[in-house]
Amino acid sequence: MALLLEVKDVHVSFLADAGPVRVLNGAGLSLRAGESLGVVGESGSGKTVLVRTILGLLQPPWQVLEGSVIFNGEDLLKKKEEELRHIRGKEIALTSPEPRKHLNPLLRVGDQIANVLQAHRDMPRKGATQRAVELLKSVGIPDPHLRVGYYPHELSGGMCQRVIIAMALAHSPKLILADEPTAGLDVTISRQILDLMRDLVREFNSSLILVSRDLGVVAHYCQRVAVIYAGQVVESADVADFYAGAAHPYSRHLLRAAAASRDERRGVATRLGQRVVFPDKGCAFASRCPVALPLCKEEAPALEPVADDHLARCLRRAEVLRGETRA
Amino acid sequence: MTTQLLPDTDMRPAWPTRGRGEFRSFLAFARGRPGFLLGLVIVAITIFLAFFGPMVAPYPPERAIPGAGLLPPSAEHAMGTDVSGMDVFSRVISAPRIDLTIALSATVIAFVGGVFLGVVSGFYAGSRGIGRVASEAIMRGADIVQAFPVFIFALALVGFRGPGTENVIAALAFLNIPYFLRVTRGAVFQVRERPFVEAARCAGNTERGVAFAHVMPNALGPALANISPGIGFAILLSAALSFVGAGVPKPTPEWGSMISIGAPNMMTGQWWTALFPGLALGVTVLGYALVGDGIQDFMDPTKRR
Amino acid sequence: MMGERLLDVRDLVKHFPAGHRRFVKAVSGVSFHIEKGEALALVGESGSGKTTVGRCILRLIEPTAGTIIFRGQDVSTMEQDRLRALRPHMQMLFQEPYDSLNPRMPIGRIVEEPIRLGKDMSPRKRLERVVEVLDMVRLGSWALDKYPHQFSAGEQQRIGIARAIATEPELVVLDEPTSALDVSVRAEILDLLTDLQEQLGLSYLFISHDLTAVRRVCHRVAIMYLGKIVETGSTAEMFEQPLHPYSRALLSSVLYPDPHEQLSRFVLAGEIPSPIDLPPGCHLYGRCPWAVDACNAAYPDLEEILPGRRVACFRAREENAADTTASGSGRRPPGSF
Repeated sequence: MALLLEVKDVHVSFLADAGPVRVLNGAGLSLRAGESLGVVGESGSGKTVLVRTILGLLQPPWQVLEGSVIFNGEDLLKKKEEELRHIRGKEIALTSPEPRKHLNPLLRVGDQIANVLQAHRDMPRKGATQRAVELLKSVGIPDPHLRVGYYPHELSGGMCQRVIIAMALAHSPKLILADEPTAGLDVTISRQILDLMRDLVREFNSSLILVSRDLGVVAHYCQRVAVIYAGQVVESADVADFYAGAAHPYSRHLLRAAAASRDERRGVATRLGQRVVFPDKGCAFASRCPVALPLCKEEAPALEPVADDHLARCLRRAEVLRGETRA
Repeated sequence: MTTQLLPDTDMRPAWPTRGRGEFRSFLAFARGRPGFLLGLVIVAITIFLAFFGPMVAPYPPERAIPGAGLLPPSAEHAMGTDVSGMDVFSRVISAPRIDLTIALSATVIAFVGGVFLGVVSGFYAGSRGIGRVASEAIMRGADIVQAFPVFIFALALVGFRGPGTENVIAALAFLNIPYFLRVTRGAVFQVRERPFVEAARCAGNTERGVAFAHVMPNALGPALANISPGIGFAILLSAALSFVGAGVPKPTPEWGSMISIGAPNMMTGQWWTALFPGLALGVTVLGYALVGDGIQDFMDPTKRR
Repeated sequence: MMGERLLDVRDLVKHFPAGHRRFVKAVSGVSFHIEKGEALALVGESGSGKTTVGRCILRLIEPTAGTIIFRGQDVSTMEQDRLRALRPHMQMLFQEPYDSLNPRMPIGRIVEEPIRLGKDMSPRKRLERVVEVLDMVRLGSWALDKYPHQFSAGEQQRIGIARAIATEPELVVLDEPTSALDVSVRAEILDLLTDLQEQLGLSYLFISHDLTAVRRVCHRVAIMYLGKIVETGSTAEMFEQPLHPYSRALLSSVLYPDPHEQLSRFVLAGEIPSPIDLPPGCHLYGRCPWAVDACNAAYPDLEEILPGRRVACFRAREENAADTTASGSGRRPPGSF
């Protein structure tokens, strides 16, 4: 199937007082039309920055140094702000980890959805408001004709996230970027939102990039997974393959930690709770890696195939995948 | 095991907050900040002049040179002379003695008083009992002080107590207290919601201990940032007081009064009488501002690197 | 070791004023106890009142009604001076690893403070104790002069643990100690908490919204929903078979990192109601797939429906019996809205 999105070798840095800080360090991923991809990483790994780079939302002091974001055959990083505006919200939509902050507190939610509709389509106000009611209904908000008149503070966090999803779906975009859509929500509400999102993405025939730190969410709601560490994608695979056996030691560690914190079993042998460091040469994970070779500190590995449709950025990927190492 | 009451033995921390090596880390900190270094130089010069200004001055700063009124800058008089024939340069470098005494003492008193009252009023706002009463009383007092026009109030205060340096200091300190109070109170409102404050209660601190050992050090930032504008404000206000005769007596060299006396000459072309004291005032205020910013960063361990 | 009650909470109530003579009924009558050396989990979502319970026990906020007996003394009405003398015996670990440490204090002073204020010890002895607890949390004396921002989130949380155990407390209230941490650090902190609990014979009140986080650490679990405990039982049994519909929904909302795992269909409908206007009967009425009219009339009492399992649900006995015969993975989900 054709590629809908291809992010290639993106480098982004943040200009701090003390000098530039590398945040994305050659990140890349690809997404086929109709696919849902889970981007997994811990805090500070650069996953949110990657999503914002795709939409061209980074402002100074953020700086995109190099790379390309090919969407529908065009490089978004080369486009002007004006052209990007036609793509944002219409072709590619973004949801926020903090739905309440994402909404304007001074406008009724119905008006906010109508504004989004009118931004890309010539539409009378009345029609837009009517469509807003329909959208609220489709995201499972009860009494949608009343709720269009509500202000964001009158809605719960879960309801706000539903409104955000309604706005994201307003133009049936080809791609939805969902940045930790359940981060601030209660667990019984999270399931509702995730189910809703999966059903709607299917219904609207969109593709989805779901950014999450929760391997459980990705296991159940995505088809493919990309693991990001220190601003690089270190592994990308089919969900079933990945959870059956990861080929990067960091992925293995994440999986083990996720399993360990979920059940009564003890013991994650390796201690990885230190800060991420960006080495000048070699693999970024080498200093924390339980199976690193002396060579790993010298030579930076590339993201290369280890099995069918399964890439890993590790010199020992084949051994790790076969389970021959104790990673 | 019986519950023992609080021991009153040695309660000093086994940890010095700022230990040896503190001076060295201060030097390292200053080295990376040219603005801060510049500020330190300016402050050092003004302090030097406050002690030795009149001694290094080429002419006696308070004596007029007969027949030398309104001379333009020249080799003899680097900054010219003023309308009564006094050497402007000598007066400019002699002025820090009185200006710094007034501005620094007034600002320091206002800072200490304002921060204390700000912590009390902010920390106890919304609590119950005596704390709440104190908090409300402090705020109403600040409202009253600030409701009067600043200048009239200072004038009344000096008029009531009579002119003289101490009274100018008292008036300026009193007027500046509400500014430090309000910014500190605002910072306290934010800091007291942070979890480490609850942690401090769990550690067994009294409410007073929580307020002054944990909340206050984290709420000093805005007040520290206000010290430098406070000093500038104090110098300017004392100049205004001098102008109407309620401040420092006339012949004493003081930038503010030099500016106000020299202002009419500006219009007739003798720009040097007011410009040089004005520049000195501006550079001094800037120097204190730079040092204030730097110290604020140094006090915050997260910004030290 | 067990059997002696360290903490006994009876009918705890906490209402916060919400203006216009209305109240947020954060906690409406909660009773439980913790034995010496026991770890009890208090699990619930936002608005359940679990955090309020923890803060009332430590008297960081004032309870509206009820008694809190700790080491035989009623903490709920104790005046501040006597309360401070009790502080070394009960400590707290906070959710926010960084924000719970005073950013202007070096680690040594942070950890030392509860000892300095609560124990009669010479500065030298205190220093030794600080180094000892820092070793226990796998940091060392190298950390003494550093400041909180120089540590990673996991290390900051270990500093918080060191502070909490420095005075050799009997009870530690853990307020969502891992929810702000990344997965790889989370497991490590849970291991450390379990080790310390066993080594030091601590009692824990572990407050969490995540059932799975408490699984390894806690002996018993109490599930809270909107200010009430809806179910209590041993951790193992609770995970084996949750009896209350809310516990069941909570457990089934856990997503394991295994794509082949069958997702439970037991999902609650709708939103959590506001704790200002609580339903007259069972608080879960309106979201519960088992609800009948009687559920909206009165609040069910906590009843022991199986040995050691107390559940506040009129329908639990019947539905669970039906379920076990129907080899149940839960019922059909309620229709969406």
